[in-house]
Amino acid sequence: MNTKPLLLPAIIASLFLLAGCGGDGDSTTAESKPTVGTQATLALLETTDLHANIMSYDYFKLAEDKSLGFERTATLIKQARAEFANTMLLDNGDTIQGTVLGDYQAIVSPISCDTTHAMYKAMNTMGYDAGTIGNHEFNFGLPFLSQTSGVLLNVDAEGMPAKKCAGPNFPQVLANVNSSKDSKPLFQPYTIIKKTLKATDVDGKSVEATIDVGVIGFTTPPIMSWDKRWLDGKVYITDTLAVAKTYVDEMRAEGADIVVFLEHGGLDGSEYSPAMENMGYYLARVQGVDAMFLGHSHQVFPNASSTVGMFNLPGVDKTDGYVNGVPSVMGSYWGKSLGVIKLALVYGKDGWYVDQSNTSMEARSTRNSDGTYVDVDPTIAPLVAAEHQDTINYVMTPIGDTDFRMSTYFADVGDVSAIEVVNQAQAAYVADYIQNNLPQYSSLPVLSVSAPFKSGFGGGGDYTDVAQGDLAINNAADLYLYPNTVYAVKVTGADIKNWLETAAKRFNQIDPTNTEVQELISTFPGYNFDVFSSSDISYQIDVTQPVGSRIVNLMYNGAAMNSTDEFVVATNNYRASGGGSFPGLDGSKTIYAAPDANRDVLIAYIKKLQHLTRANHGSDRSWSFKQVTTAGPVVFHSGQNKLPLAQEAGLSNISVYQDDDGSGKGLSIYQIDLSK
Amino acid sequence: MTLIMRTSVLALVVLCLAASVHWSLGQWSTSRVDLLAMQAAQGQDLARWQLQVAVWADHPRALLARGLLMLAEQDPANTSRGLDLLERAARKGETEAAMDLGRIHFHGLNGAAPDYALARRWLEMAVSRQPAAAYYLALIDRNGLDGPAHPERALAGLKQAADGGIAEAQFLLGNACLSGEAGERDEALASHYFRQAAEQEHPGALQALALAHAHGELGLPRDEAQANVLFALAADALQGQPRRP
Repeated sequence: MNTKPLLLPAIIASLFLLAGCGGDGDSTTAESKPTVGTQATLALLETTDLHANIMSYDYFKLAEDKSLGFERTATLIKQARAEFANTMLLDNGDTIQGTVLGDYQAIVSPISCDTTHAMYKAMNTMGYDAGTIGNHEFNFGLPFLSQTSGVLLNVDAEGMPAKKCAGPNFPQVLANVNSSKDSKPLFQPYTIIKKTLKATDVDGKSVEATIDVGVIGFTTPPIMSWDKRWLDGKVYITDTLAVAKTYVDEMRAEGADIVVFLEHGGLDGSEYSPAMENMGYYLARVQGVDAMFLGHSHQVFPNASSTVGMFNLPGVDKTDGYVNGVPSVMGSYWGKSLGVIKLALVYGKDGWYVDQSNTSMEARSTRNSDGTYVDVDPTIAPLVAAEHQDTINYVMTPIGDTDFRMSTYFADVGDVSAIEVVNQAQAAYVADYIQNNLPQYSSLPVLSVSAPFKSGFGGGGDYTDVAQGDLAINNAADLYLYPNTVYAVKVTGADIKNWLETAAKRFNQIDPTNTEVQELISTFPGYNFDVFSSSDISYQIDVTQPVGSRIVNLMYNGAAMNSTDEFVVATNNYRASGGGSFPGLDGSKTIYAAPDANRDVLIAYIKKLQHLTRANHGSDRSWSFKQVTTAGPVVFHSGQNKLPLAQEAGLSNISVYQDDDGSGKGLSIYQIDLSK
Repeated sequence: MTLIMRTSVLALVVLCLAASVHWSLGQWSTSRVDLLAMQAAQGQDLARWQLQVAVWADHPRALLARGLLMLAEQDPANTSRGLDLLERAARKGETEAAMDLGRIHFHGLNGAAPDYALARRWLEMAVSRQPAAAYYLALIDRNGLDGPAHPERALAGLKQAADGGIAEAQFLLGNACLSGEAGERDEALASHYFRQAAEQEHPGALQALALAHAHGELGLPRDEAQANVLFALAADALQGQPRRP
């Protein structure tokens, strides 16, 4: 233990103590002042990284998701309150951002000053003692933070609320962010909560006793770069360790019996830097901290089987939940777990202290051991019913329409009806960014690739299939299934050929002389079958050739693509950083890593265009099979009764070979005539 | 005016003296300089001056910090001075400065074309202490960005970087285990590397594991619920600015 003397605060504290003892006014405190040896258990309950997950619901899929949501965490909270005589409920930040509901309340239809954020409505009803501010609370800007937190932040920023708005009914503490305007902490750095404990005295008699619990919060210093546009020049990060020491002394001097850290961060054992993201490892070394909540990293702690690096640092007891000797928990994320620190308290001659031998830590999951989930707490849903429904309505609101059905049933054989609009949206987005921000690449053509993400793996229902008619946000989520961000890579014609050669692994090598039935599609995943879909670029795939020699007649603007020609290709973070092992795509060619999700880029594109037509957005086939006459049938599997879709897409060489492929998954066998 | 000027000069002298005294006491640890750098970046003038004093005293960490601050201003007039400070820091053994220089020349500074030969020089200076340098060197070797490609050397470099905790290298190695680039296809080893990178919230690795669970690949059980969780974690990991190793 660090025993650096802290003279001044100690002297000040002792002066107060002396005054207290000498005075005659302590008869009221004497009533609740326990006798030495009195014991109590105080369970500190942690929610962290709730990320606006109130309901057990996935707004993109418009379906229940029992694995998340505060309505189930609330059940764990009530169970803990029934179990322990004394509890405190604390939130560790990243609270109001992270779901469509969060975006809806902040951006789409911003809540008014007198409206409490839905997340806080739910939390208010559960009776929190305090909370801290995570990095994501800054995502929507300081005015919105000031509004939703119900705290008048003293900063010079446009649009700050003029009065205190509706917010959480518990104090929010944050010690390591100061306002540049007055160089004072943006929020109150700490609070001291007086708690009446049900305790047992040395004679085993039940007694009531008070304890003062100091609660202080810290957020991740990189907020200054993550939310630079909101924060630059308006707030600044202080030296977290230094302020922690100062405020712990202050809290102790003000009478805190124990001190709890709300660290919105994980652990990092590399050399301390005041700018480091995860401070927990060093904060645990601050003298005077009794318990610490961790967060931000979305992990579970303690967890004996964890292989996560931060929990295998020296001084970290991942089995029992200690970080450099300090009882600590991290309660997962999205309300999946409740962190519990069961503090064993003993009243000694100098006041309450923690008896670590009887203290224990755990992260309680909403998931039962049999794979089911704890029931929802029925009090939560009615509180946010309107917000929940508004969000669902928003997701289902038409953002445009399409005059053709957009599907991937025949994407493996050339249909681009569900792919072209994605490629167009990506290309337009990247081209626009380059024109405005990367003049050095403005002369290069911008192309785009995407893949049919759903291609029947799970059976006939496992295809992208968006009906003709109105398009809503959830349809855009069908068209762009994965959580990706747009990346742009600078490549050569040779790189494009290699890219396509890898994508063409989707096909088995076909022997034209074979009279037996040959399966066209290999085990190479459909989500890696990247295709172009633009009139600028064309190529053929010769499936009779081995892998690596299949791309022929690769043309750009009607001329053979030169291997040294340079292009920009819009794709996603997964592909650009090496996903699927496409040659040369390993991060080295990325010229732009956009902050925007491909799905959001698609949504914006559809909103701008309003009306999608097959002619303009669903029929530019860049590729076809090189024609070859085969002695036997070449077949592939797709959803049953879908042949008309192939015909609508202009694929006249497809026929039904066998109505049911026998897999029991609703698939037919289709034949493709490669000679056409 | 003159009074203000005199006061400022006097303040400056006092500050320098105080700083030098502080300096001579050996108090300028890495974290102290980092704190000053953070404060200076946040516009605190006192910290900026203190950092400048440390730069005059040739403190390697301060040279690095000041250099990075100058480069962050993105003012072409200061670019060469910023680079110069980084080079001085690197030559004084500050491997983070060498690493930064390697990274800068690998990507090209402020829109300039990358200079892979120069990048290699600095990365090689950093590589004994900075696993990220092994990652960038591997990219150079893998793609033949500075002379012919060296696939085997690239693999060894990726392994070194992955063992040093570079998530991007772990992700690339995981993929290489599947494509045959790293020898015979090894799904178990691939998912091992993906897990390592996923633990560091690498979005690609989270997605790779999500895809594997969604399709029952890499010897993992098909588990749609687990896939959804991993996809959602990937989405979360993509929030904010992409990080470079």
